[in-house]
Amino acid sequence: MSSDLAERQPVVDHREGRSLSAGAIFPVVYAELRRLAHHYLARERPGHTLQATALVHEVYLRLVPRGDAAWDDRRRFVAIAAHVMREILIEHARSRGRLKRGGDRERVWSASVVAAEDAEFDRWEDLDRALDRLAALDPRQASVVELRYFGGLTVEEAATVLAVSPKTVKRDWSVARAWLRRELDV
Amino acid sequence: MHRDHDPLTPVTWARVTDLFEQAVGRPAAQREALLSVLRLHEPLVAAEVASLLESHDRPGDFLPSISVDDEPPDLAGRSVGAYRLLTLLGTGGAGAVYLAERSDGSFAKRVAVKLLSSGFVPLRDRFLRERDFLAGLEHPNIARLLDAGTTDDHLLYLVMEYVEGLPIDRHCEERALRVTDRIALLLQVCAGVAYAHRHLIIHCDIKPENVLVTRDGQVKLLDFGIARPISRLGTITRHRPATPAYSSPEQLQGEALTTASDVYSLGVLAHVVLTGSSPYALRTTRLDELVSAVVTAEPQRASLTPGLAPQVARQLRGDIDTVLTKALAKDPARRYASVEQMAGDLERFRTGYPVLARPDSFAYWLRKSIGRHRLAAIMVAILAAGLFGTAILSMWQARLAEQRFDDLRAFAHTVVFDVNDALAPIAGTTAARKLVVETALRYLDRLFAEGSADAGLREELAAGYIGIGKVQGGAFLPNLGDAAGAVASFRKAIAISSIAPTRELERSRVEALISIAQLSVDPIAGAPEFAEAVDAANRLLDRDASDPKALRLLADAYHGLATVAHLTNDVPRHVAMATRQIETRERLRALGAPSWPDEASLARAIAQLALALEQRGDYEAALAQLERAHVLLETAIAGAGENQMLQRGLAEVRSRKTPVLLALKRIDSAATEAEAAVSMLEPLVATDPANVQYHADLAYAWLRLGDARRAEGRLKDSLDLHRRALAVRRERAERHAGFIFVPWELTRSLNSVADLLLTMTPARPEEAATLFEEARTVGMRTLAVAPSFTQVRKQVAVASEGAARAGAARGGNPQSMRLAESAGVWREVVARSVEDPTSVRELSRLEALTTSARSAEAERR
Repeated sequence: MSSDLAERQPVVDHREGRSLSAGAIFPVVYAELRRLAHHYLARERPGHTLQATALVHEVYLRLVPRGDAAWDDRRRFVAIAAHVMREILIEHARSRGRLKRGGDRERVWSASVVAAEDAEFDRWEDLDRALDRLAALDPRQASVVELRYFGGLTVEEAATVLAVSPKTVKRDWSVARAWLRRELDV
Repeated sequence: MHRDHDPLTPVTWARVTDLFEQAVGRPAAQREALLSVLRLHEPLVAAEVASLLESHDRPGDFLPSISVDDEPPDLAGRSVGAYRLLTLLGTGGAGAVYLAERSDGSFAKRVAVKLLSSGFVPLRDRFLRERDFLAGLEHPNIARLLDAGTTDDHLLYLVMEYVEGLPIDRHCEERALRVTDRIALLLQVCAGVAYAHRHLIIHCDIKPENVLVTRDGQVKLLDFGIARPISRLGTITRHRPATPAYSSPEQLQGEALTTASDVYSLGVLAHVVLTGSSPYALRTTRLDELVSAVVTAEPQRASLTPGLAPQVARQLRGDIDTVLTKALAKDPARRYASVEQMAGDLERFRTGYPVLARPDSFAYWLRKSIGRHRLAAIMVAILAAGLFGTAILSMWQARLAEQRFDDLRAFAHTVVFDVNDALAPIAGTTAARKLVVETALRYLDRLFAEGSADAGLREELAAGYIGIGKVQGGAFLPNLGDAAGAVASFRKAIAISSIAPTRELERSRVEALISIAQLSVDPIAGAPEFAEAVDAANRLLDRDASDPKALRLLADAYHGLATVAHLTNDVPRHVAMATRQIETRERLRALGAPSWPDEASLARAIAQLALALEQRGDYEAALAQLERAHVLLETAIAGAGENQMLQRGLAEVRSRKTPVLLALKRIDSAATEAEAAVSMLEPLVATDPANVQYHADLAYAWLRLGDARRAEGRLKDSLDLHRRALAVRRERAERHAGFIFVPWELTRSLNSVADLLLTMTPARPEEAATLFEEARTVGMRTLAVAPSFTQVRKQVAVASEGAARAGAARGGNPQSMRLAESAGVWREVVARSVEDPTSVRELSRLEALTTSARSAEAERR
């Protein structure tokens, strides 16, 4: 799927109620999300409140309030958006870390190198790995972290996406945070 | 330091999660108790829970900051092309902006250099696009592109006009600018955006940070970084998310964009500049709330922004609220069609003109924008006249007259009728109405002169002339008092309608005939036109017996003939014509479901018959008719709900019962009916004080209640009511001198007040004498031009008798001469009247009085 085509096609035509059939559309959607996420990051600037999580928010707002046949796919789509956001943020941090360590000249961030703490990049790496371990124990708890932290969703929104009660999301969030904190030892 | 723990399984972890949840909300002692029990049976789980609780309790946030700062390095000092970067001004979406100057020092002018800080391909494309857009734009309100290039190390750069200034919102805030000055700045923004639109570029990112104002108040639009060209379809489909707080709903929803998206963003910008806050009252800056507000919530009215200074709120209330509501409409089609239109309204507001934005029809707009302000109303009328002329002239210039005739006629119709109708109820706007209508007609005349004999055009012309005639001097309407001009216009309408008449033209002719007849100074002079109108309407009905318009015209013509009979005191004819009017209105009623105006007209016709019967002395029959009209109106009111026309009709019918009931000596009922009428009319006058017809109605009701009070013996109350009625009628006589009923009403009130005064204080007859004298003078002056106005003649007779009595009360001689004069006038009245028993009685009474006064005088001698 060329990026040009992906750009021309809407991510998902919710207005026509078209279902996001998982097999055929997710790869396209995935590529598109990645592209958008990079875009959001690139527009990030001081003094503006546009968070990286805006992408997931937008996806959530576009898809979730319209309940119909494609409901399950939509929820899944939001979860994927949050996951994509996580990947990109961590990848972004990683690339900056690598550049900081005198790495890859091919990378695109050549002019944006800033003096950042090595520890900061490491923390992202650690967080990523800790989340993976949590997902092995309880995938839903890891999803809650992705939705809340990388996706910026509220408890209620995350509950809608996961089809559980807000109370469950609160509990998952609470225990997952305690776990991550211990794993990251901070 | 990562703890080395035993491998957890999902099952164990679920148990840990459960216990953690149970423990986490409890006090330390309870937690410890729980854990100590747990340690005995499940040491692994207990250790895990304890460790998690300890992590949970640690203060502070531990997750890395999620917002990714992409700070580029500060490149100040290095050279870029021919420029040396001086200081970093800021970082933008695609890079950094530096203050710079030419490194060769050839000229000292400072510039801004925008450097792309990323090799990321989409950003690079965007940067190049901005360069291309800016290269084509040269406008005082758009920061100019001076140069562009690539550095040796492949960095892209743009050299721009350096704008030393503040974002527009901060500029306004720091200088505490007045609303009009803020609007002036917004107009500059609009000018820049409109210019870009004319060059087929949509800015897409209008917000304060991209709108700088220099120290001397020059606005400069920056950052065409996400601007897009407009396709041939007028839309752009591939666009980038911009700052959500300023993005249009369609932008946030990824739909196709048009210039209307920039209109929306300008609306947000204007709202922020004028009120200091966003049009969406948000508690947080959460993006999801903002997006859902932009997409679904109604923007807050600017004037209602919390914390706004009261005088600013007052200025914004109304027009600015309307302008912003229109700019911020969710549906792009409901916004201003262009930035120029929005700027037009802002400019109108700034210069004190009413804005054009209105949510509804032209007529609605007129009503609303005119409000109760005469000056504004006249301005609107002048604007409308100008607008009309401009529109037509431009159509001519475009040589589109042929194709556009229909549009043009519709427009003329709107101007003539909507403007007229909107202005009509407002006192003091008649001159403005005339200007509008005459302007419209002048253009219609020119169209007519172009040689088109098109029947449709002639229909419009005829209707237009009737419209202006009514403004000039239409009966029953506020007018310019130019009866001669009105008659001339009605005659033009008749002339136009007589050429190859269509049905519509024929109807116009009848309406014009009736309008002319109603303007007759001498009542009998109108009779031929009314009669001709009856014939013409009947001919129309011969061809189509169920033509409701023709039936209404026929009824109006009979109404006119009945009125002529009434004023000339031809009682049998009055009864006959009133009866025909009722028959005609009943035919109309039989056509189908009656409309409320038709019901009101039928009730009025019945009341007129009652008046004729009253005059004939058939009081019981008159009362029965009035009761019938009463029931008819109450039924109509029950069906139509709150309706001022029907309320007014009912009040009139009830007050008309009073003289009939008084004649029947049913004084209590007479007072009750008059009181009811007054209490119905007073609120109507209060809600629409400018409506002269309501005042006239109320004056009648006061007069009749005054008569009832007099019969009750409450003379002081009676005098008070009659004086109030007289005051209204004096004012009416000044403002609506041309209206046939006015002198009659005035003479009646003068006589009533004078008579009461004389009865109450016979020892002080001076004021009564003056008022009788005035009534006599007004009456004689009226009779000089309207000799057939027998009702006025009666009042002259009454005034003459009154003057005689006042003279006698003054202690002078009984004035046999004045009494003889009165008797002479009554003789004339009887001679001109047909079957009026009251006048005959008055004549004999006055003749007897005169005789006795003469013999008394003879005795004294």
